[in-house]
Parts: sequence; C-alpha cells; structure tokens
Amino acid sequence: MIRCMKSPARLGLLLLAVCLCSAGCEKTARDLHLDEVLAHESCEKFLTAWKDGRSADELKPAIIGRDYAWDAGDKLIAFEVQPDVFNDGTNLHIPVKLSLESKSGQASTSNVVYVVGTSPVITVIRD
Amino acid sequence: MSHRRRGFTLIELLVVIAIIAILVSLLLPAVQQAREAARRTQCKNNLKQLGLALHNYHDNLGCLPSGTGGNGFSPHARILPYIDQSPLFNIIDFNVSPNHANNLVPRMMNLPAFLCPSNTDKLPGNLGGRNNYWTNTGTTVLNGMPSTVPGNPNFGMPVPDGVFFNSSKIKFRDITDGTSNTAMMSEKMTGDGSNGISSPRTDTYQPGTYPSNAEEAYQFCMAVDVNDLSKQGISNIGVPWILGDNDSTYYYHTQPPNGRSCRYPPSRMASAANSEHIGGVHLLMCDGAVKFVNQSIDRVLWRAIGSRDGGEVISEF
Repeated sequence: MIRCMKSPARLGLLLLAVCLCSAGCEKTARDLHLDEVLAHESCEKFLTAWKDGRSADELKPAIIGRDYAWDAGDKLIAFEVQPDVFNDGTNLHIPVKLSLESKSGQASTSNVVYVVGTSPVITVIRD
Repeated sequence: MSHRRRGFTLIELLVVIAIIAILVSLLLPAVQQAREAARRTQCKNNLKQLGLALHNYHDNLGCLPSGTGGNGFSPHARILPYIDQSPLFNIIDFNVSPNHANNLVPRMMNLPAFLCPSNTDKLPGNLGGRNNYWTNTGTTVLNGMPSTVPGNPNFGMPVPDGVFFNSSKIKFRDITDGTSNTAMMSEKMTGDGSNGISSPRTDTYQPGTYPSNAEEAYQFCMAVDVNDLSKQGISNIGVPWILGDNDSTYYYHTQPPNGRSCRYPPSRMASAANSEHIGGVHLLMCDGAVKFVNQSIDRVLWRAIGSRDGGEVISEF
C-alpha cells in the first residue's frame, strides 16, 4: 500500500516544487530569432520601393517600414549599403548611404542606419 | 502474524497537497509584494547615491556634468569616480567617441548603480551596459540645441530648460526655480528590443508630426495608434549608459510619468520617465531629495518641476 502511495505523493510534491520555483522565474529573456539574409533582403526591398517611387504602405504586410524622409516626400535617387553591419541578436543594424532629393529639388546625401528585425514580423525602421 | 502497515490513502495525500497549494497561492502574492518592496527600496537608494555623486561632482568642478559632453559622453560616465568606480573611469578614453573600439569594455559593462532591480531587461545582450536612471533635459521638444541657420526648421526654437543637455554644465546657482523644486534625474525602463512588438510603456513611437511645444508633443504622441508597427521608433531604450543620448540617458518632462514616448521629425523628442513600480516613478530633485511621484500628477506641475528657470509656483506633489 505504501509503495503504491509513493507515486502520487511524489507527483504532488513535484507539482508543489514547480509552483514554488516558478515564483522566481518572471524575468526570462525572449528569443526573437534574427534571419540575417532575410533582414538584408528586406532592407534592400524597402529602399528599392522608395527609389521606385512607391509608398511604404504598399510593402505591408510583408515588410513594415518607416522613414521620415520618405514620409516627407523626399525622393531616393540612390542608396548604397555600407559594410559595418551590426547584429545585436534581435535586430540587424544596417548602415546605408542615401542620395536624396527634397520636394524643392535640393539634392543631399546622408549616412543613416536602418534597424531591421525579422521576428515576429519583418520591420525596417530608420534609427 | 500480520505486519500490515498503515499508510496514507490517496485521498488524504491529495487533500494535503491541495491545502498546501491553496496556502502557497495565498502566500505567493505577499512574498512577491515583499520582494518588489525590497527592489523598490534599492531602486530609490541608487537614485539617492547618484544624487550625492552629482553633488560631489559639482563641489569639485563647480558645475554639473553636461547631458551630452565632449565626444558624446553621458553624465553617468563623468560621475564614475564619485560612485566608487574610479578604475572603470580610468579605462574610458574620453578623447574618442563612446562608441569607439577603445571604449568597448566600459560600454558593455553593466553597473548595479545604474540598474533599478525592478526593471525587467528584455534587450539583446550585446547592445551595451544598461541604464535605468535618466537625467532631466527639461520641457522643450528639441533633441539638442536649436539650429543657428535661418530657414532650418529648428531655427529659433527654445534652448532646453532642464539641467542636463548638450554642453550644459549647469551650476546650482543657474537653477533659479530652486533646487528643491527642480528635477535632476528619474527612472526609465529599458526597451523591449524589438520593433516587431509594440510595448506602449517602453517603446518610442513616431507620429510623423511636427510639435513645437510640450503640449503638442504630448497630444501628438497620445494620438498614435500603438498597434500600427510602422509607427515604431526606438525599441533599444536604455543602452549604453556611457553615451549621452535621448535613448540612453536623458528624458523630457513633456510627458507625464509612465506616459508614452515619441520622437518627431526634425530631431524633436518627448521621452517619458517610467518605471515598473505601481503608480508612478521615483524622482531625484536637485537638492538631493528622492520623491515618489504619482503618474496622475498634473502635466503642468510635472513640466514646472522639469524646468530650472521657468519661475513657476510649485505646489505640493
């Protein structure tokens, strides 16, 4: 009788131990997987869409992106992805040299960084 | 002769386990509250220590450190010798940028003095040392100083009216509202690290509008649809402490405590103080006092506390 009682007792004690241990486990890290190849491709697609005169909304829902110069109506004449890419574990930080033309026709170049994430959705946001 | 041993029945055991489970479930919230109270006390104490360090810095050098000093270093980097971190201070190369390879080791280091134990860290590991204690840059909306070039959209905008901003070097005598009426530092949680997840408490959103003052910044920010991921701005909030920047070390008094943070073109900001404590944030005043400010504080009063020389009458808070 004692032998057959040991099993549920152990199970109960195990459940109790799990409950007690879980009290100290509220701070857990998340795993947001980054696909570097997909991040590079998405950034290029995003910039190519801007260069082609499309809107960022046309890329949704595949790519959710934002650039305030694009919002403001600046034209992207050319872009060049720079080599110093940084992977922070969740996002790829891609430096890009942009050649822009404002609505008034003024040309300018700027070095910017896009923060690209691939999980849970693809996001391309200018840093 | 029978040796039958009397044991517990299954029902008895289950009843005992159920009773223990009920007792644990009653006890756990109390235990968690006690733990949070301890964390909150430690968090407040850290803020107090930083206040003492800033006062010692002022005593020695005649002014407070700049919000963003030469090469972009934060006040946190400047006060290291006053929080028993002289060895770390000595390995920082202040002649180059905080992001330079020479400063990799200090940039990546987490210091308990800059961490509030209540904060849940969700940031990726290799972004740098975390910071939960931010300096008050005031109630203006510019990130940095106004442009001196006529025609620039930020030409003629007001200079920051807080205590820490670009090359600020504020002296206590410059704080004409009174050191007991002016905020020095507050808390801010680290970001969620992902632009694919919307976290209204910690993310910085982009409304795409052009606020010219604190109230416009607040209204535009509150109008953002936080479920629209294209409105995400900055999610890597609170790193690295060595860099004096709007997403690592200085906050604005435009948004109420635990309010929403936003950035706007061209180079305008409204990042709020916030915490994981229930109902508000700790606030270090320029006289060294640490208060707990309720998140429902009147916005006008919160902004008055944020300016060093606005001449406002500060009521009890």
